[in-house]
Amino acid sequence: MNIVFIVNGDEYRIDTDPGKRLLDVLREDIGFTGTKEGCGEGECGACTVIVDGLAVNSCLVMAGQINGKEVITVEGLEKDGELDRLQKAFISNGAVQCGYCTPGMLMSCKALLMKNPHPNEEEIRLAIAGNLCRCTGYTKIVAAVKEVSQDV
Amino acid sequence: MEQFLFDTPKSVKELIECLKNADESTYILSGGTDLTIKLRSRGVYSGRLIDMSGISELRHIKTEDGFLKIGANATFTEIGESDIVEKYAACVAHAARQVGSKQIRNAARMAGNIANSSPRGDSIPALFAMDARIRTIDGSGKTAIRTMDETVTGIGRNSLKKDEAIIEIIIPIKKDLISAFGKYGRESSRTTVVIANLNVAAAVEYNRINNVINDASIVVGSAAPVPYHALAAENILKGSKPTAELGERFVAALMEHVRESINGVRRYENKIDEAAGVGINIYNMLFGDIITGGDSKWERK
Repeated sequence: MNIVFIVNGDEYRIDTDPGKRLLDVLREDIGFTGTKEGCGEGECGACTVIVDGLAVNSCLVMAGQINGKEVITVEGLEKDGELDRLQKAFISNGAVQCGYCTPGMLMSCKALLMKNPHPNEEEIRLAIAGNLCRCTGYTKIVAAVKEVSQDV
Repeated sequence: MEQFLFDTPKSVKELIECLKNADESTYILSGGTDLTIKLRSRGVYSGRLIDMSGISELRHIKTEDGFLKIGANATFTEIGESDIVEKYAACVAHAARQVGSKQIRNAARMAGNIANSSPRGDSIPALFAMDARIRTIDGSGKTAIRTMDETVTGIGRNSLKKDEAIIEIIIPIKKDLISAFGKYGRESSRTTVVIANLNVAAAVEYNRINNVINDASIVVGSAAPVPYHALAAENILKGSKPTAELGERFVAALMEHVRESINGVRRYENKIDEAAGVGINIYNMLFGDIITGGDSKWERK
């Protein structure tokens, strides 16, 4: 099936199995390997991307469902060689350790900030409730999002 | 290579056309957060998928003719954030907010949750308690309305035909109705994004002027293949005034219902205590302020 969609501002036209997972389309068909596969069943959030402004698990979305949609992956956060404020805050707050959850965590936080630029701690924790991190204990991730929300 | 065929109807009219040719290898994608996993785990890599997400006329959440109507295409996020769902069917809004994670709620639809018919599904007990009806349409264009217990028939089983899709959830708006939903998650380090070990939905008609509970619908989920009405707990509430003593009897009845449903299976015994915890929360959500005057929470002796 021919699928036309936008990833990080660029249009892609691909011929792929519409039942293929968005996660696999991103990683295998168009080379955006920043998005990670964790559990593959919507529990861990490692594969989170933003579709039409909303955070979703790319392991639970089929290629056919993204026809005509706009996708943002972790690669889309950086602009002209400069990291997004949120990425910088993750680094400065030590919100990254092993880093495997980081792309998904960033996308959940980014989706939150796009909708609500000044979230409180409860809202931040609710937004990342679907993202598992086994290293940081979440405190530094929450601090990074708070820092960005205060900057805006 | 095996591939799926994929249809994205843009209207109910186009949906009917898609349903006309439905067969055993046709799957209706209503969000897809369960179906995607199910197909992969069964090794199904071909067939026909009908994606409901393009049908904007089924995205509604509205009141009409004395009913709250939720289109099959409304997401759990939209249902959980809806003021009118909160106003007329609070337990449905509460349940919607407790489904999975933000990512799941952004994609998943209540219609898909019903069709998936998981005994642990959060929205199903709430819809049972609210006496919701399910409107479907088939490949001949014929619509049908079913009750929840006519729709959800077993573990992962429903009465929908292959050429039939849920298009709307209809909830009667009742005067003086208050409702609540409570859930105890499966043992986990997580406090949210947990699959229900036990969930309970309550919808009661409470006359504030006379301080009497005129009717009660209490539904227990995750304790049997299909959610069921806790009749003894309902009878305790009906015709009574909400008091601390009534709360004691309500929670005890709920525990007894769950004790009966697990039928002596030891690994499910924890559900009995969970019924107490969920029952206390529900009773507090319904009547806590009335009993304590809003100063504190009602607690069991």
